[in-house]
Amino acid sequence: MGLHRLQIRGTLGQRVLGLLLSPDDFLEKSGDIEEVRTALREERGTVPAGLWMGWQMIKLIFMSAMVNTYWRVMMWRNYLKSVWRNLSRNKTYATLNILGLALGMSCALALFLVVHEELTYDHYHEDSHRVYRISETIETATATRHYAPIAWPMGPAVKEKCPQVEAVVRVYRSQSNLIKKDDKAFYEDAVFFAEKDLFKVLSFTFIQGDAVTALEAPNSMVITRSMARKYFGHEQVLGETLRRNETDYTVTGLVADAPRNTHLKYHLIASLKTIEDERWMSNWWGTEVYTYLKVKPHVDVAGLQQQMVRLGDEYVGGSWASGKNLVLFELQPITNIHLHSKLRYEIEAPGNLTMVRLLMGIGGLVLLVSCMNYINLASARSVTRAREVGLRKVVGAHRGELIRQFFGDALFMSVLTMGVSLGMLALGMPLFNHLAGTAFGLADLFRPMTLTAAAVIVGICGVGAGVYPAILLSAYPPSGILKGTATRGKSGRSVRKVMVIFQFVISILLAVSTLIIFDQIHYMKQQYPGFDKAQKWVLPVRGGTNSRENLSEVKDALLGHPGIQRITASSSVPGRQMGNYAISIVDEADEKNQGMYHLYFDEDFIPAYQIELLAGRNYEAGLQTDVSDWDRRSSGGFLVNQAAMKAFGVTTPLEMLGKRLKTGAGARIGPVLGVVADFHFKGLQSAVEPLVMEYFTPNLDMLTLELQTQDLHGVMAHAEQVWNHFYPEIPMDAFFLDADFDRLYRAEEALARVAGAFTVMGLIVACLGLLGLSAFTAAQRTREIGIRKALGASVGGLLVLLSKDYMRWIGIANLLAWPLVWLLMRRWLAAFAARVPVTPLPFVLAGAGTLIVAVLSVSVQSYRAAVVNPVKSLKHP
Amino acid sequence: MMVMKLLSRSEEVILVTIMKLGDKAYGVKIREQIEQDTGSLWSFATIYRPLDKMTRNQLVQKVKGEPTAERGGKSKFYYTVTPAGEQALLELQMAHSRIWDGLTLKSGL
Repeated sequence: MGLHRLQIRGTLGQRVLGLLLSPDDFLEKSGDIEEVRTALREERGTVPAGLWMGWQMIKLIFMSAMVNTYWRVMMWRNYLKSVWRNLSRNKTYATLNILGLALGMSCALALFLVVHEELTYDHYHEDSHRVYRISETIETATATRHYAPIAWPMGPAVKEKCPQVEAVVRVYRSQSNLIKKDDKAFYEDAVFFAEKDLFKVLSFTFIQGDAVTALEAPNSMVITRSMARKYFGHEQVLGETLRRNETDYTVTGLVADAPRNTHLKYHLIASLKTIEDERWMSNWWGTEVYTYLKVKPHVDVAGLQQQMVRLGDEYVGGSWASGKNLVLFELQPITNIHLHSKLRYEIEAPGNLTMVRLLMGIGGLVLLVSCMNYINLASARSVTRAREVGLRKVVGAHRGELIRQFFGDALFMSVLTMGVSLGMLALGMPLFNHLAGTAFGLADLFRPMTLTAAAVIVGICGVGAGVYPAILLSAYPPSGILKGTATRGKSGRSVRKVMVIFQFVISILLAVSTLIIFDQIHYMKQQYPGFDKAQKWVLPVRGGTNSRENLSEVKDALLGHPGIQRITASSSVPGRQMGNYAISIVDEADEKNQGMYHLYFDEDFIPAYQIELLAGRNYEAGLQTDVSDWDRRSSGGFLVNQAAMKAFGVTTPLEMLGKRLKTGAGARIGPVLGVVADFHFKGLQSAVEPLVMEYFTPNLDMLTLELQTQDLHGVMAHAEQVWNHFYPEIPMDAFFLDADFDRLYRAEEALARVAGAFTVMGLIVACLGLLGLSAFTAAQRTREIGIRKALGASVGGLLVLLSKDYMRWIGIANLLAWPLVWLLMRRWLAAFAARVPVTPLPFVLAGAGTLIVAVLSVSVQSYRAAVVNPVKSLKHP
Repeated sequence: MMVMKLLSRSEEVILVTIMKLGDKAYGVKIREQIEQDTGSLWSFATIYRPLDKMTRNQLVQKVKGEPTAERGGKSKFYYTVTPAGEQALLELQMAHSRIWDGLTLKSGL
C-alpha cells in the first residue's frame, strides 16, 4: 500500500484519488479516464480534454470520499457508541481505569520533562556537534586529576597552531562579585570574563548590541534581560554603566536569559580585556580558564586531539615541577559536559546520569503498572464484553475488525486519559517542581516536544493495553458466548495474577528504596562530621574588601554582644568550596607534588569547630611566627589532616610533625605543626580528602560566629550594626552553618522526594487496580456468597474467602521484591563513604504497608458483597 | 411471497450492458455502450458508484486483464456478471412483468 502511494505521480486529482482508492481500483479508474482523455485530445484538443478529465476526477473523488467516509464514520460512530456505553454502564470501572492510567501517564510525562531537559543540555548551540571544550589532565606520581579549567596560554596556542579550528574563546569565572548600580547592590555568582569570539562559539540571543564587537573593548559588559530589569528596571541599557567591585563597566549588549539547559548559566559577561594581565595569563602551570572552541566543518577531530597532545608536550610536557608530571589536553564535546563530565572545578555541578536513568526507569515502571491495570480490568470485564463480541460476530464482524475495535477502544481510552492527565499535570506542576527541584511551567507542557511524547505515551498505552483484550476477546467462539458456556472470567486469571504480583513487586521495590534513601540521608545528617556544626553563624566578607585589614577591630566590635562566644576567620567553611593547590614534602628523595585542598584560618578555628588534634599544637594567639607571610614567602607552619598524612606516605601523626612542607612551585615553606583528625569538610557521601591548613591572612574572608544565646534577633541586629559600620558598601549575606552544610545532601533529598512521590503514585495505581479487580470478583461470586451465607457462613469468613487470594499474591510480591531491592540498594549505598547499615525494618515496613493498603482496598468491595442479604444475592441473575 | 430487493435503474442498465458486451466489458466500453443505447453520456463516477457496490455484493466480478499498449502498459479491468447478478436481473425482469401485467400504455408515437 505504502509503496503504491509513493508511486503515484501525475495530476493533483490523481494523487488525491490514489489516497482514497485501493491500488487496483485506482489503476482501473484513472486508466479508464486517461484512455478517454487520449481519445478526446485528438478530437477536441488538449485543453478541453484536460478540463474534462479534471471534472471526471472531481466527481470520482467526491464519490469515493462519500462512500469511504460514510461507512467509516458509521463504523466509528458505532464503536465510539459502544465504548461510551461500556464506560457509562460501569462508572466505577471507568473512573478507576481512567484515574489509574492518568496517574501513570502524568508521572511518565513529568519524568519525560526532566529527562528531556537533562539529555538536551547545550544542544541548542548552533552546530553544537562542532563545539568542544578543552580539558586538562595532570598526572602526578600519586594522583591523576582532570580539570575543566585549563592553563591560560593554551587558547591562544590552539588559535595559532591549529588552522582547522574556526574560533577559540577563553571564559574566566569570577568568584566574588559585588555588582552595583546606584543604590542597588547584590552579590552575583554568574559573572564571566570572556573574549570577543564567545558569540562565534556559543549561541546567545542578542536583543540589543552587536555580537561581533560587544566584548572587544576593555570594561564592556553584556548582560541578560533579567539582570537589566534587576539593576536598571528597564531594557534600554546600551551605554549604561554598571559597577563590579571597584570598576565601572559599559553595557554593550543585552541578551536573553541563559536557557535552563546549559552548563554555562551566565548573567553578566564582561570582556576579558578588562582583566588582561600578561604575567598572570602566560602561566602554563595553572588550571584557571575555561576554553571553548569550534572546529570547522568536516574536521578530523581525532587528528585535532593528537595535535592538542603535542601542544601540551611542546609547552608544558615534562617541565612542570621536576619533570614528574604529565599534562594532557583533551577535547570534550560541549553536549557531553552536563551528564558525562567528571572534571574538577566544573562551572555547574554536573547532572547525574544514574539519576536520569533511574527516573526514566521509574517513569516507565509506573506507566507499566497503570497499563497493567487497564489490561487487568479490561480482561476481568471480558465476560460482559464477551456478549457484545458474540453478537458482533453473529452479525458478521471479522476477527480482524474486532481486534481493531478493541485497539480502538484502548486508544480512545488512552487519548481521553491523556487529556485528563495533562490537566492533572498542569494543576500539579508546582507540586512536582517542589518535589523534584525543577522549574517547569505550563509552557513546557505544551511544547511540541512534550506533546509528541504525550502522543507516544498514548500510542504505547493504547497498543500495550489493547493487545491483550483484543486477542483474548476476539477469539471467543460466538456460539459458546451466546449460549453462556464461554469461560466465565476464568480465562486470563493467571495473567491477572501475574500482573497484580508484578505491580506490587514494583510498588514494594519503590517503597523499600525510598525508605532506605531517607534512612541514608538521615544517617548522614546525624553522623558527627568530625566538627561541631551547631550554633554557628557565618558572615562572608566579599567584594574586594578583605576582612584582613581590620579583622581584629571587627572581631572586637562583634564580641561586644554577650551572645557571641567566639569568632574565627577562615578562607572557607565546611560545606563550601576550598582551593586545591599543589604541595610537597621538602627534602625527600622522591619529592611528590600533589594537589590538596587548602584551608586558611586563624587560631580560633580549631577550638570553635571542635576539631580534634591528634598530635602537635594549634596556632597560638599573638605568636607572629605562626602566621604565614605572602611577601616574605614564608609559612608559619601547617596543620594537616589524617588523609593528607596518609597521602604523604606517613603512618603516624608523630612522624608527620617533623616534616617540612612546600606549597605550589616553592612559594612557601614551613613545618608541620599539628595533625588533626579527619573531619568532613565536604559531604558525608565521599571519604575525607587530604586537607592542608595554614594561618594565612590574605584569604580570611569568612567570619564564623559561635553563638550561645536565646536572643538570636538581638545578635543579628548587633551584627548588622557592626557590619554596616565597617562595611557600609557591602550587603550582609550571612548563613547558618548547619543548614548550609545540609545543602550538600540536596541531590539525595531530591531523589528521595521524587522516589517517595512515585512510590505513592505507584501504590495508588496498584490499589485502584485491586479495587476494581476485587469489585469484579465479588460481583461474579454473588450467588456463591449468597449460598454460603444461606448455609451459615459468617461475614468474617466470607471476607477471608474473598481476600485471601490477593493477600497471597502480595505475599509473593514481597518475597520477589525483597532480594531485588536488596541488591539494588546495596549498589546505591556502595557509592557513599558513610552508609547506613541495611536493616530488615524498611523491608518489613514496606511489606506490611503494602499489605495493609491492599487489604483495605480489597475489603471495601468484599465487605460490601459479604453483608448483602442472601435473599437478594440469590435472586441475582 | 418473498420480499424482493430490486436493483436500481443504473445498476440494471450497467448489468445489462455488461452482459451485452460479453468479454469486452470494461469501464470505457461500458460507458460508450450506455451512450449508444440511451443517448446520454454518463460520468465515470455515475458508472462506478453502482459498479463498485455491485462488485462488493458480488453481482459482478472484476478481473484484471493483461497490460495493454493503448493504456500505456496499464491493465484494463473487465467485468462479468456472476450467477447472482443474473439471478438479480431475472428477479427484476419478473418483477417488471408482474408490475406491468395487464397494463398497456397508449403510445403517442
